[in-house]
Amino acid sequence: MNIRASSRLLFATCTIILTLVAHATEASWEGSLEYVGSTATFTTQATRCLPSTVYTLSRAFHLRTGYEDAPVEFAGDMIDVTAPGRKGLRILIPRGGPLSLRFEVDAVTHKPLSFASTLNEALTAYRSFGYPGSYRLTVKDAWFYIVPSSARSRAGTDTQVTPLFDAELRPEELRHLTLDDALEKALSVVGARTGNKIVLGRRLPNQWGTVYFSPNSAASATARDVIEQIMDASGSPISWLLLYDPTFHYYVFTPYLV
Amino acid sequence: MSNGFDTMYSLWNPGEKAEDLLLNFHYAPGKTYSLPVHLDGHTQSMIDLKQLAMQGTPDVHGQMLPMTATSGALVITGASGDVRDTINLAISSGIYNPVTATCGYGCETCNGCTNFGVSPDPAYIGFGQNYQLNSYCVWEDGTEPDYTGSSDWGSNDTSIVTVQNSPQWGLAYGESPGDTSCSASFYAPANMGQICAPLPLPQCQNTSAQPSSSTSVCGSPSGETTAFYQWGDNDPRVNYDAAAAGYIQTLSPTSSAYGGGTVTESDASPSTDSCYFDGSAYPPTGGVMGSTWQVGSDSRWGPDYVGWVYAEFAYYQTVRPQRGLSLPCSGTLFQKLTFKCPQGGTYVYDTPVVLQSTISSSGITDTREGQTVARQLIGQ
Repeated sequence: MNIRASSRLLFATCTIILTLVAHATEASWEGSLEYVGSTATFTTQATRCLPSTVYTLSRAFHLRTGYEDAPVEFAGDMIDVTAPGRKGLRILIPRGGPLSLRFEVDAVTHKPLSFASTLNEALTAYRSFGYPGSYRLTVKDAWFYIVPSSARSRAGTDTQVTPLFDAELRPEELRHLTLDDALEKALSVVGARTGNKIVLGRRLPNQWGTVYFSPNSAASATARDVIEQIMDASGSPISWLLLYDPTFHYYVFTPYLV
Repeated sequence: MSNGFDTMYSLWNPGEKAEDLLLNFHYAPGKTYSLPVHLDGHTQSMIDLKQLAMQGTPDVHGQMLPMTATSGALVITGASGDVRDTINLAISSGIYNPVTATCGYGCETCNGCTNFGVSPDPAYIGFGQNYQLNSYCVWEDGTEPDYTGSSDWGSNDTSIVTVQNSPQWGLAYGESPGDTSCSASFYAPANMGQICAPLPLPQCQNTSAQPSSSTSVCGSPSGETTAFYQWGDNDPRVNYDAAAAGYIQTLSPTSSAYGGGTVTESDASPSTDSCYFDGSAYPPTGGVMGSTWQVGSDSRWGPDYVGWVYAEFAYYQTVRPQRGLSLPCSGTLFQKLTFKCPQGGTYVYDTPVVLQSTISSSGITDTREGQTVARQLIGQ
């Protein structure tokens, strides 16, 4: 009997250690790439696996991408990660998990044979895992845009989604503004038109405050096109993410260098 | 505008065509007063800085020129503020002190394109894929405005690569495997980018109020000192940078002149972000964003802001404890800096600069090159 009791105690101790390790090691935001001949394998463990994929591939291959989250309204599409025993604010994140895909690359340069096909592979893999929302790829100029097409409503029914940056802007509204002010105003106008709050998630390069925005055309354009003009005018190789936060119900716009 | 001094500018439009100008008075780091001026053909106008300040004339942003401004620089552009818009203008300036009966003069230069190029070079374009090429020009002052949309693009071999001129300038398409050259050309007006001949000096005594020349010979710095300048914003609800601290750097040795040069940052060692947790709406800090600063005639550059945007600061300060994660948490970036002389020549700093920002339950602590500042801040 004594020996059995000791064994049970030891087992319990091991379980606690494993639990602590799991809490201390957060899944990395960036995924990993491995190459064998002309095949690349991408894997991410991030819960926000689709934007993690787009971010990692955009930086790895120095290509310009814009990613827009679908809204997360259905309780079954969120994970409550509030610490046990905490009262008050519930910390929610979108449901997700590991994602992996394979794609064809040039055996020497390791560049994808078709970046559009690679992103479409990622969207297919995302759907096959049953993660929330569905997305589609559009390619414009040298930009690759991943935008939401459907998401579950609060009641849990699949609903068509109009991407936030489909909202139209008049580029002339932004003339005479520096690039940083033009971007902030564009986000603010889209937020006001769509009834959402959009915050800028990262400080912009210093010179964005010295270069003035000069629209390509006076005609109305989608916010996505206007932001593309602002990014191109900066001369910096920048991509961006628009991520939804279900805790505070706002979107975070994060530009990043590729 | 102190101790009885005043600065006046005489502007003359020598051409037939009317000119719409924007006069940008940079009177302190990060502070600019932007005054629009219309000049019909063959007309002139006089701008009196003291009068503008005393009358409280608002600029295009509704800001006033403070009477406390004592030094700075005037940059004139077309009305759009886009430096690429060409203007036709003659200017002279004077610094007067009626009390001491002395006067001085300013030093004017034309700024413009000096070194036109295409990036990336070389470019690798996938067969059947689009790839955006960009053209740029390095100006006298070291900036590199984009000329992609105003360039005439071409390809040496359109069977390999074609490049659009419209509607998407510089967009290349890989037609078939091979190597070829792509080109961009841009029409530069006469005298663009040349230092103008100095105007005849007025026949009066020069005084110590004379601003230093902006065409000084550039030296190579051996280092720099950094000092806290200001917080990004005092009111978190107004702007996004209340949790960021701005630092001003002074290149050394101070005996050399670095005015007109630029300092550009690039990412060095991998950044770290202990505030990020899996599922956060704020991706971890991915490194510095590639800012460029002008070096002033006093060898100073900046402000270089270190810190989180306010929303991200507020998010982690609120969410991490609820999530059962600890505070403080930090983001650390490594900034590689390169100094460029306006006459050419670059100097890369020996070691990357360490930038760190720490979020605690009571506020924010920002550090640049060991200079640490803290402020109490509760995110909302």
